[in-house]
Amino acid sequence: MHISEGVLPVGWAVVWYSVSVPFLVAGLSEIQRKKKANPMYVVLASIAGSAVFVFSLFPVPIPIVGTCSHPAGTGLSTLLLGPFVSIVVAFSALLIQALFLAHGGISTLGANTVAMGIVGSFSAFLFYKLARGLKLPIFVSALIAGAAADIFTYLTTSVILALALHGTTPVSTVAGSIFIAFLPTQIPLAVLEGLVIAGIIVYVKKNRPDILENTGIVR
Amino acid sequence: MKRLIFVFAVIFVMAAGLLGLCVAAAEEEGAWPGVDVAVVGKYAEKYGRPPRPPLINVEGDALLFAFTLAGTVSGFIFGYNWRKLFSK
Repeated sequence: MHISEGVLPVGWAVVWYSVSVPFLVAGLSEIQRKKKANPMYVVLASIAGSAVFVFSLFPVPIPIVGTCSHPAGTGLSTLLLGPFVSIVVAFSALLIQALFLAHGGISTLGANTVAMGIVGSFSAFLFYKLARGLKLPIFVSALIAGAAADIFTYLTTSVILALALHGTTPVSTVAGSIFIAFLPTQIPLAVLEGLVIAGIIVYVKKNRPDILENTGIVR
Repeated sequence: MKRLIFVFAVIFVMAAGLLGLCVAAAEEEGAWPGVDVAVVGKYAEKYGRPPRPPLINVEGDALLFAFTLAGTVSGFIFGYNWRKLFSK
């Protein structure tokens, strides 16, 4: 989902930076607040940060399609840290990737943060809450959250690209065609990502339930 | 202890499988394009905004080294902090 350097016009780059800044500020203040309340929170944030960084860089080949892609990872960071801190984690990972690993770009960092950070994190959070509200087991709920973060990240990327590039073609047509092009690769990958995240969350719940209680993931 | 061995075995099998897939993909150069290129790049070019080189343009073996280094450092950070949270 990394939108490369130069793909977005300056106007749209500024718009997406502007959208992401308030969320980043909220996330940073939440880190400060939680760090004071619980010193181990920084340790947890480091785990989630390194996981998101690797997840969102790791190319997984999908044999049935013949392409490869990477998960988002923000489902995991959302369930461990909450959606606002997850946005900061995603931004940090995307910044390092844009600077040193030729993934994404500085001009498109705001747009990539909106797609992977904001929409990825909040979709994971909302779908997890919805699944738990339907009394689904924690494993299934985390699986749904992980998969939702992945799919909605790519849906947002499609919309961002369509808004900037559509020309005389309707935005919905361009966004739809881009999203459909993503789906054959992303659906199997979303399921895989969901399974990995669900496994981690169940492990954390069994061994350190207090971590999930702090973010309100379990009661 | 048995559970720990089981967890490590599952992680090892999954990692080996993914590594195998990645190696297979790397051997067939060009046969497994990433969606960043196959979808984002394709549509960007189609609508007249082709991607520009990144600010710091790391390419070829240097990029592979950067990926390896980034993965290793992240792995150490993850493992070290995971141990702090779950082993004490």
